[in-house]
Amino acid sequence: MEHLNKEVNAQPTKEFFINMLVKDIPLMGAIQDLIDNCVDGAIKIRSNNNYEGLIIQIDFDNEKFIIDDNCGGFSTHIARNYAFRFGRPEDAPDLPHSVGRFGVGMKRALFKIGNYFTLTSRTTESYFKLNFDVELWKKKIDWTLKLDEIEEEQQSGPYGTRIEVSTLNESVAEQFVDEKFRNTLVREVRVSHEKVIEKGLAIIINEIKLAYVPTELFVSDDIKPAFYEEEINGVMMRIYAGISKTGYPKEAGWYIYCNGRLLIEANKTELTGWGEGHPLYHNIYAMFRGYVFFEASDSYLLPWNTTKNGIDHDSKVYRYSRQKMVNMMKPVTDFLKKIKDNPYGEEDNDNSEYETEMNYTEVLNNLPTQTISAMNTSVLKPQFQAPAIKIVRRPNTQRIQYNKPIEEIAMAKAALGASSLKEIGEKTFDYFYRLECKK
Amino acid sequence: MTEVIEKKSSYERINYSIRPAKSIERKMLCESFRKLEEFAALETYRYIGFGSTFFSDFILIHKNLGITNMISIEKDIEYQERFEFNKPYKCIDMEYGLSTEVLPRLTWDYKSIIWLDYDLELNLDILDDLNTIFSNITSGTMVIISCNVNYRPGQALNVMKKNLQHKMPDYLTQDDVEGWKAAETTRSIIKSQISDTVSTRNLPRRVSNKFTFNQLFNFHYADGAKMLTYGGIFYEEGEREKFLKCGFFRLHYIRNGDEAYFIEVPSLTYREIRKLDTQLPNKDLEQISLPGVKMEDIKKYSDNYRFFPTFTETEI
Repeated sequence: MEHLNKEVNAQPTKEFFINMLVKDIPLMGAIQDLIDNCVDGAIKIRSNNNYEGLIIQIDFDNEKFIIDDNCGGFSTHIARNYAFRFGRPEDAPDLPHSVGRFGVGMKRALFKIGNYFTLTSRTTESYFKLNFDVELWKKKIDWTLKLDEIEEEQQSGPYGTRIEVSTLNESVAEQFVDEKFRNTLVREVRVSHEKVIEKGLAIIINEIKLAYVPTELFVSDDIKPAFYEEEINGVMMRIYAGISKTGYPKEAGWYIYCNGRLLIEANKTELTGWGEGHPLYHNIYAMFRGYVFFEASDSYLLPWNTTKNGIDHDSKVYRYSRQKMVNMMKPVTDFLKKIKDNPYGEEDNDNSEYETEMNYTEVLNNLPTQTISAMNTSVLKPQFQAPAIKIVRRPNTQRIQYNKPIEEIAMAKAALGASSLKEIGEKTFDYFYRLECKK
Repeated sequence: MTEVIEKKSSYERINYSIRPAKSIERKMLCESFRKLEEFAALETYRYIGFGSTFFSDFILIHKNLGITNMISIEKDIEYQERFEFNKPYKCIDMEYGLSTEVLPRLTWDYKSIIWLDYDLELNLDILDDLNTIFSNITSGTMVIISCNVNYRPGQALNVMKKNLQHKMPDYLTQDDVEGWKAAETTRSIIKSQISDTVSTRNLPRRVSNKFTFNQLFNFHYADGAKMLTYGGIFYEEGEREKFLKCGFFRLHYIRNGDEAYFIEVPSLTYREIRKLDTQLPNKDLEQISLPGVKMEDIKKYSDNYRFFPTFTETEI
């Protein structure tokens, strides 16, 4: 097409557009985006937050990818005007508490996965089917799509959306049959959507039903996690900092959720104050757990980045909460540091001049724990509560360690009348010292 | 030998009560605390400090201001009995541990007067303490930090870098930290930490609710080692009127800018002091006569005479 005089053609080509769109999103993130849309549907139709009976089912192999839900579906009106636009038009209806808000998730995900997809959606009032051949669409000049089947009358259930992608992109097909990819996907989806799974939403990936594994913190008369909540310009912020039973270093750190979706998992970097306001992470802090929940009915206010896989650490809301987080974590890590200062503990700190008067780790293991959602926040304070650990100066001694043949040890033991290896060691040393060193 | 001495706390090395400049500073601070009455009744305030074994600041503040909610942070966890024994009043709560451990576990519901009189040079722990304090305190709180700014000639830049790591401003050169300049630089690093914390805390607040920290103290003195005392008042914009009503600036040692107030202690005999006192206050120092004493010393004395300590040897 020849343009007249001063006009310059600056329209994007679809090829370029699609490439740009899928460039930054990993396959895992693309699938998460599709799930986010289903979760938004669930949140919309169940304002009481009880998601029992709602199911998101995902199946894939090296030929196809299917995601099928009964989370309400979307209408022909939404399909015509909003759902297939790139970017969310300003007049688009708001979805309170949603997780998918940027209006590119679904299309980007589908382009990432394959070249041909079929989408059907049924709401109480309409049904439609859309076949989308990406290669064909690329060749067309205009940007419109055509619904293949439409019914705009009262529908009977189930109400939901089903998307099937066939002709997978080559690398996607490879990843879909990779065992490791499947396992990681299951784990990531489980942790990201822990909060909705807890409230009854079923997510099934290749016949694996994702289970809710609650995280528990120590809560008792002796030990209580720190808790703080505040509304910051339309965003509700709730922070918990405490200690958990399992001391796996990999699980230690901060967890940050936006509208129930986990964005940051087990973070131990500057992002959450480690090495910036708080000392660097060390394995003695393996029992530390911190949780931050941001909730907003207008999800645009939440401090997440556009791919929703991380925190926008420049956002005011986040910078403000980070200050609170650092304050709240210090007494927790200080406590952990102290209980790890065991007199003759297996690990580190042998050079410390001080030690704890009693071994608190043993006491701790018998104390009760609770899940975050079960906690009664009215008894919690912004300061972590824990017994004061008395620190005393380490006696001026050192440990000697050595190996000897078992028979010889047995003989020495009998000769000394000792009852333990420790006693044999001490008595043989005393014997030598008495004869050779004492003046 | 010096190594050994430096490892000891300052209370083990020196009896606080006979450091004259420190004693003058303490009384000046105490006088200015009295002006906080505009924000709230002084007896409702809480005092947080490092009482050590002498509790000089606690004694002065309890006696003069009637504050009963007092917390002394003591890092020496080993000889707790000794601190309990020396505690001059029942109303002082001892909190054992480093200030970086104790401050985060305090509750912050009270307006406070906080004077952290460190015997060390500025370091990351002190900056962390400032962060804890300024992200928690309520409007009408006074915060004062004293720290050592005495570096060996030519060593200041390296020692500061080691102590402050990533918080050390890149652009500093040895020239910026030589002699008393170390105090100016230390002050500017403290200031920027405070403003960083306060502005983060202000992020979600509306203009009329924003917090401000207004510098009041910038003392330089040397009873031996060079020391800096920096401090001021923290309040919400809505309470600016109260701040102005306090009238801090009527006190001659108040400094809200780069300029420091040097506390200098001339060496005078008791007879000379009594003679000078009879001629003070006096706007025209030329009129004051004292045989054989330099004008310079008379000037120094007249600046601080109301706060001047008198030490005598006694057998109790």
